[in-house]
Amino acid sequence: MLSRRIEFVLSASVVLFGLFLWFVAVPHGIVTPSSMRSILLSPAFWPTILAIALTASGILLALAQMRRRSEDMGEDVEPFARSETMRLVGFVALAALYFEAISWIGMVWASVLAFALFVFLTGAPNKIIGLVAALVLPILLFAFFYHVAGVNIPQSDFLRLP
Amino acid sequence: MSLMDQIGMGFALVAQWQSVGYLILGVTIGVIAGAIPGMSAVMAVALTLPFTFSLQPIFGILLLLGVYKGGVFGGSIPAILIKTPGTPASSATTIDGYPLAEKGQAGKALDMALYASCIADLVSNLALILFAGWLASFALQFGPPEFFTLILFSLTIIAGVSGDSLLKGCISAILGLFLATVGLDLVYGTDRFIFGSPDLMGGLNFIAVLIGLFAIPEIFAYVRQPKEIDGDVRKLGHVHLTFAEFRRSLKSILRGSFIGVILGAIPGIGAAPAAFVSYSEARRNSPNRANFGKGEIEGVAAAESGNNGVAGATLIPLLALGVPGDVTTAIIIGAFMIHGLQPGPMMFATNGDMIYAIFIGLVLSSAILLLVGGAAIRGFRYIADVPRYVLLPSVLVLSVYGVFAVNNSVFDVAVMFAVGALGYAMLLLRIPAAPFVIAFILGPLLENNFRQSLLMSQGSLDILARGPITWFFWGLTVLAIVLIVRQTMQASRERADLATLSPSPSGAPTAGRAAE
Repeated sequence: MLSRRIEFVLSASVVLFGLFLWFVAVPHGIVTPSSMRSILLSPAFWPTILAIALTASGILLALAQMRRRSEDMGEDVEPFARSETMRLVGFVALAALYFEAISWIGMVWASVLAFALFVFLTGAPNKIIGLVAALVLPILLFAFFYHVAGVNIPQSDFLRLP
Repeated sequence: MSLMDQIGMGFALVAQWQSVGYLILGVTIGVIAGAIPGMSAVMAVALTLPFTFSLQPIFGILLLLGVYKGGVFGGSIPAILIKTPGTPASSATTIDGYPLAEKGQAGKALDMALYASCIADLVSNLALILFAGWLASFALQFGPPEFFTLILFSLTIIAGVSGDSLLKGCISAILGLFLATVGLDLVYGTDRFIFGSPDLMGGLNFIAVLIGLFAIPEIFAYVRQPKEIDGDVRKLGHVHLTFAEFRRSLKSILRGSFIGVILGAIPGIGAAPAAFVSYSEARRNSPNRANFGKGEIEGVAAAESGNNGVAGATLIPLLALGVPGDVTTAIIIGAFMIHGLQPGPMMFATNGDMIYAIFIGLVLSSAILLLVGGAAIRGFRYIADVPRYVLLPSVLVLSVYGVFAVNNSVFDVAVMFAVGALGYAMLLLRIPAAPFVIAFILGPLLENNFRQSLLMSQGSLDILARGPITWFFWGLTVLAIVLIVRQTMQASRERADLATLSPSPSGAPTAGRAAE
């Protein structure tokens, strides 16, 4: 179990998210037909029940923290070192770039690029092995999915594979 | 079609060389994935799933079942050789397996793990064959109200996969149920959380959610702390298992197999508790109980048989009722659906040949496990040497290809990354991912059966308690909830007492202890 402070923040976030779903997302995100035989058959009924249940779970989580003895300190989330944060931010940027690059240069070369960047981002001890794998794996996967499974793997005009 | 016809057709399906080939491939992938610390059987099944789309359903299902079976055993290899269980269920194997390896008897421990696993797997498969058909014929009487109450009861398995906090498990499950409501409404055809995006009309892709939750968070965790797993690989040694040792442990193996079957057939309990129950029963009954924990071969046999006895039994609720026994079988349900099959009692009537082919394939998988497992034991050094800086980016690329291949949709890749980020946040906040996936799969079934029941009854809720079957499941659900709440409160009291008794971080006794 985490420290009380984190658990309280978590329970407050869950309650707020539950209320958001209940009062904003469900009414605005679900189209309900004007004539229905029963409210129980409404497309919004089930999501509403879930939003209420989520809110209730958040409240119960908060109550459970209040009942926790002060001696039960739990553990804090291990603080992020600056280098760790930078790497995680780098990975999120890499994932976004990977996703975008699929439409620019095709899935194979986007994968090669993402794999290679990953190797450098995580400071792999043997970059040669990493880069060889970065080149070989996406091409092998392309060969399987395109030629064996018949999946139309997206390619661009840039270095088009047969 | 008569029963004999179905069995005959099942044989014909398995008798193809591709069936056996995919089964061998599946077991091999599973054993390797289970043996790599940091990979899990769940992740292996999830990543293999996209490769089955182009296969005939029987080949795809056998491949996945092979991965599942192999993964359960594979975890025991690093548990014995480097004291790092490949899967949580192999933790009990470490207790006696690693001390044996330290004595230079790793070969003996691994032999025993392999034989115990294969025997337990066979017993479990036979139990599946014996009980699944019987349970399915009973379940043929079920209509939507009965299925609604059954699935509601099945959701109580969330308690078994919630880890430390039941409430966090519930939050995770509710999020999963909520995400499953995205898409067009099945009764009225109106929009639910689509916000004008045609990509969301069919709902969120199951594979994208699955891989996002189980593979991407591992990559995030590695990026944060990119370290190789430490562990000195013990040598196999020249001491191998003797027949006398095997015979001495046979009772524990059979006992463990039955414990695994019973606990595995109950949704939500899983392999880890079965392994520990089997281990403690063996220790209680063994004349060598003093040697348990110090390198007792019977301890390895008991842990592995309990662990593997679960593998076939978790398929009993899956095939007979269409509800998953654990997370891996939840993924396998998704695989059935992708191949246009709906596991459950009707499948015995409509796709009986497929059911019997699966049964035959599973029995065959026990023999294949014996061969592949033996080879994997000898090749473990090479498996353990796969560097994580190659493994994790490979998983990333594999995930992107696999998720794209389901619907030829780049949007699904974005969903995978988004769910992956959510999964990593859940990992940091100790919110378990397993309830999310189980609820995501069971959610649409629960809602559809609820609404179909109400359509049948013209909106009256009385239909949900229309007969003895619904009463039975309501009773089971209430009983399960009472037991879960009681158990949770008891655990919370024990934790609080422990906190009172344990020293404060400074080393000084806490107020509670001082008062005592």
